[in-house]
Amino acid sequence: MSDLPRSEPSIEELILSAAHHVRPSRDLRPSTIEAARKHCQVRRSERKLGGLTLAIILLLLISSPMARYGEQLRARYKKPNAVEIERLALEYSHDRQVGAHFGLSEAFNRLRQSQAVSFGQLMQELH
Amino acid sequence: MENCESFSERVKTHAIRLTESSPAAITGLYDLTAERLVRYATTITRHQDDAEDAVQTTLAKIAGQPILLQASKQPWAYLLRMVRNEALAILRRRRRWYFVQNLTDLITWRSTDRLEGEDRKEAVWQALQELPTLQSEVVVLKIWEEMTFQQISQVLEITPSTAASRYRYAIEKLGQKLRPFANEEVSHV
Repeated sequence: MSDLPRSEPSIEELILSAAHHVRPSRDLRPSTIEAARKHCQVRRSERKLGGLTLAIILLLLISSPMARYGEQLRARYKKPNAVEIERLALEYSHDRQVGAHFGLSEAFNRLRQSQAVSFGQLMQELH
Repeated sequence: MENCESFSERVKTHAIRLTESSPAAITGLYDLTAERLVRYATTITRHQDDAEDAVQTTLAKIAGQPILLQASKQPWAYLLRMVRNEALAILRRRRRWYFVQNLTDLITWRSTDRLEGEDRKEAVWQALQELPTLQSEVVVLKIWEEMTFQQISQVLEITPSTAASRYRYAIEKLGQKLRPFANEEVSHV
């Protein structure tokens, strides 16, 4: 009480004398300790949940481009089934007016060539 | 009564202990500060139950994040500010801005025999509770917490001159209410 002129010292002393008049209730101490314990438990759970959420988000962030890349690779290296090869063979034989056997052989040749090109591209990407 | 700086240091020591050990270490901080926090919060809420709720919530928060107190330059002022914010939040929630007309809800150190000076202390509390909160809390911080206006301004987030003028107005009003008691001999507890 140093930064104000003490015009009413007796009033200040009177107020000071009542400083310890009020006390906390008996159950405040145990209830505060219990509340603190619960609060800490909640915070620990929140931290764990936060960590788990962060891990899931990171996993999604990492895995989604990888999944997309995997999809692209799968589409690129997807092998045609027998029906598709037959369709290609028929198209070729129809376009070039050649026999069905030659069309089939040409369809296989083209498939092999496209696979070789894709493999070359993949090796370049890996290096 | 202990001065504000040394008390603040003790609060900081307890905050460090709390960081280093388990939440059970809150007992030390409670024993050190509870009475002072409750009486300060009571001047804001005007109800001891609400004041104790504010103190309990604040200390639970501190137990969860003792670093808040440890990192503070003025731990005691920080703790008082936390209690104040909690007390004001409780008031906002409960919309209990009425003034108590009696002190029946206050738990006091009164013994079975009515001590001499008890009326005087009750009169002081009554007079404080009849003041606007903005003034009574400055009086509490100034006289009971022995804070300077600079320190009070940090707790209440006002300028030191505003704190000083609120204090002057409050003392003036208290003087009018308590003059009959002030002329008697004051016995310190």
